[in-house]
Amino acid sequence: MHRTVALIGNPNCGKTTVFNLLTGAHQSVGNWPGVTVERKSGSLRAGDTEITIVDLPGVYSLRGGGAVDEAIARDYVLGGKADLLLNIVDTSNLERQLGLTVEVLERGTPTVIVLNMMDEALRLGRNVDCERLSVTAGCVALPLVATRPGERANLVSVLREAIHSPVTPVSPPYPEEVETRVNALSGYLTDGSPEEKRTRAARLIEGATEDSQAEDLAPIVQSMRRTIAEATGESAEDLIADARFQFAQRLVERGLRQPGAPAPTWSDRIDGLVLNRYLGVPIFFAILYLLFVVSFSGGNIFLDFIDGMSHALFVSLPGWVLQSLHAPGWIVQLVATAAGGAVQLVLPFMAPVGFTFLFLTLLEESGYMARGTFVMERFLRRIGLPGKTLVPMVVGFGCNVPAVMAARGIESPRDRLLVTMMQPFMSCSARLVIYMAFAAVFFRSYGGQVVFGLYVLGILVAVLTALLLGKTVLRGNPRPFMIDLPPYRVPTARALAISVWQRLRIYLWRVGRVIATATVVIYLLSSFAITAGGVRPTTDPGASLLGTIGKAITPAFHPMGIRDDNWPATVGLLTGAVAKEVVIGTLNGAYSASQAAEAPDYVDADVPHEMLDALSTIPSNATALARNLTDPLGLGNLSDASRAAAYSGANESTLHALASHFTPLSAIAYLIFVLLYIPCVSTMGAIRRETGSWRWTAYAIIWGIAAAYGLATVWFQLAHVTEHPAATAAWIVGIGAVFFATVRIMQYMGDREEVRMQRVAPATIRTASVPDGRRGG
Amino acid sequence: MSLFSVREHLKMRGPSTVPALAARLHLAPGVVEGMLEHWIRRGLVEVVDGGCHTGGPCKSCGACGLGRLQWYRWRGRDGTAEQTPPAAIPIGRRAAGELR
Repeated sequence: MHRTVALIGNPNCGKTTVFNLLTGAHQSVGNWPGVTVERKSGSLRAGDTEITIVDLPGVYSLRGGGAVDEAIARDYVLGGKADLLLNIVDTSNLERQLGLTVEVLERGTPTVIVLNMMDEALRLGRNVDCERLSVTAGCVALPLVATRPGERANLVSVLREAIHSPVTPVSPPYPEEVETRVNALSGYLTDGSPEEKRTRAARLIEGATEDSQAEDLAPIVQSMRRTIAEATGESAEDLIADARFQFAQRLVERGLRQPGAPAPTWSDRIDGLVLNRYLGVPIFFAILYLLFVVSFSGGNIFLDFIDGMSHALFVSLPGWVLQSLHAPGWIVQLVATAAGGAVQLVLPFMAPVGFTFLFLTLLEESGYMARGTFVMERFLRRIGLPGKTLVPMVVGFGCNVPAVMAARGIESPRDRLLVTMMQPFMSCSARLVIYMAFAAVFFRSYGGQVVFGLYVLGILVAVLTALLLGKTVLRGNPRPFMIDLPPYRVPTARALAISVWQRLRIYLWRVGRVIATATVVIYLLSSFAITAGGVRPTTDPGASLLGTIGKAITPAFHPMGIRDDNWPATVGLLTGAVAKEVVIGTLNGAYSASQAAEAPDYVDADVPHEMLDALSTIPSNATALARNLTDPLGLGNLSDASRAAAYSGANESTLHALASHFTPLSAIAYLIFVLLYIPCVSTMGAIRRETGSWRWTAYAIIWGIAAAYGLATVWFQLAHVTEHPAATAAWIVGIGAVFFATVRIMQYMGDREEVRMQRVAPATIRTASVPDGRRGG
Repeated sequence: MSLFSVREHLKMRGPSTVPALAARLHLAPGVVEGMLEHWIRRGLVEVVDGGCHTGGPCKSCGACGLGRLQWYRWRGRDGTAEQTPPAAIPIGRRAAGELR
């Protein structure tokens, strides 16, 4: 007696291993007729039966229609060339693979389901009830580990049994409307067994065209498809597919023993705490707080060292070389003081920024960040914000541009717009540089707290913005939200290092380049004055074009503590619209230019000595940190500029200039302004692209500037309330009035928008309500 | 009618992910993947890439801590897909490949 058995299964389900187990050395390899897909077959002897084993291509589905593999598998199975089908299933991924199993069972050919990789499944804690699976599927379900040669005998005996007493497996039941038509259509089919006819009829009704009688029966099939669609409101192919999925789901439910509630794992216990309804949000902020405090304090230890080293290597050394070569003074100043100064400004913050990146990456890699996002999300939904608001937030901490792009995943245009408008307020890594520079000067012992405060302020303003928009211009109902919580894992050192280095490289290269370029441009711009006699060099940057512009607009910033002599700060805000890090480059360029009069001399520069000095700062800073830990708040006298300057051990001239132009209080006001005032050009571009609207882009800009001006002024005025209570009160009342007027205008616009939306809506509904079945096919 | 419940979920509640749909609809993730594959093949669901903080599309590296930013979105609403379903059932671009 001779019988043919075909192996069918998903790719990578271990089909080849089973094939080798069965046939051993008796294999032959050729091609399927007409195509280059490899055809493997082999033979084995079971008692008096000669069995040919055919290995079909690994496929996910038998529906066919496109890929050659699936057509081969489908034609073979449908053509009834096999006496028995061996459906190989990777048990560790049972649910996914049963989709194909259902299609195989549907064919009506005697089948054995081989539950391969059983060891792997057991290791994953999957408990398969083979007996119940067999009963539900109407065929034998055999557990197997194909890599164990000892299991061959059992497999062969099951094969022989299935061949000698073939059983037709259970086929998925179709809905009544489909079943009646399948039966009716079977009557028109000329040859094949009843099971084959049922399969072919179902495929025809599904819309397949490979059947030999498809053309002749097309009018009948079309009319049946139409009737089904009219009766059910669904298309025939969807109904048949659904029947298969339901059957697959039933096989999963019957075949997989659901283990009792497992003992809570340590992961569940941590989640119980960090996802707690009341503790979740405080824990999130506590962790964020620790992150910045530890990063800043840790980075502080190396800040002066890198600062001293880069001064020696990028300022003193090139200055000394150029002066030894008798280069003109202005070249020395441009290269050493300005450009070298820019490098010296960027590099030291590598330490605290690097620590921040390290801890952010640690939070992300460990799986906590997704949970932090989840609790914040839940909290925001409780106060009426749409879901998925903060998913881009984490991304926004890196850069606002992809954060704006990440909002794409949100379906409702209203929610998408809300989330887009929130993103510019997230403190990105460019802003981190500015925070760090100011913190290094003014808040040496509690810089982490200040940076944390700015991050939180950004989140608060973002939330407020969304709330305001949601209640006025963009009214609507928030949609529910779900987030995947990845398992906790201990990040590998390698993954951490790669991720931190990638971020740090972007910081050093992109941010550093921008700051250096801005420095040189601003240095040049503020070294030339435009007078009646034309453009001429000047040693007084205040007289330069840049200085003139800066001085003209500085009075507008008086209320937030920017004095007239600090016009570089306002110029920095103007240029910072290009990219936030330009703010620091501008300050660097302008301050260097104003110091050009007392041009630093590099003739006596002692580079090795400078480097030794730099090294010696590490132990002293480490001791300072240890002292700090006992006084974590370290709140000194906030309004004392001279003390702040003394705190700063940095020998960077720009940082010294910062110390003399700002007080700690006006520095915070300035930082608040920088955080909020305007999305950088790239973010503006992203907002324009994603919203498709210039009006919303303009809104993001104007709203940002207004919020920045209002909050920075309120902060500075409140901080100095004892000095001028009347002025403070006037400012606060004024800003409050403007705010409420804005809200009223937005409410009015919201009313108008609602009317407009009502006019647009019917068209959308019409398109969506065309029933499936009438669309041909 | 679980195939249709996936569709309704995407239609009514916006884009979603495989684990989210599986949890919400009490289905095995593997089955949900198969169902999404069906709707993708029918041209009615599309994969949305959430974007990446490096600027490109999601490469599932997990660096953002959000797991796979693979979202599935109902796209029948624009009218074109629902009105012109493919005559045969194409598997040319293997839907499963898109799911991976």
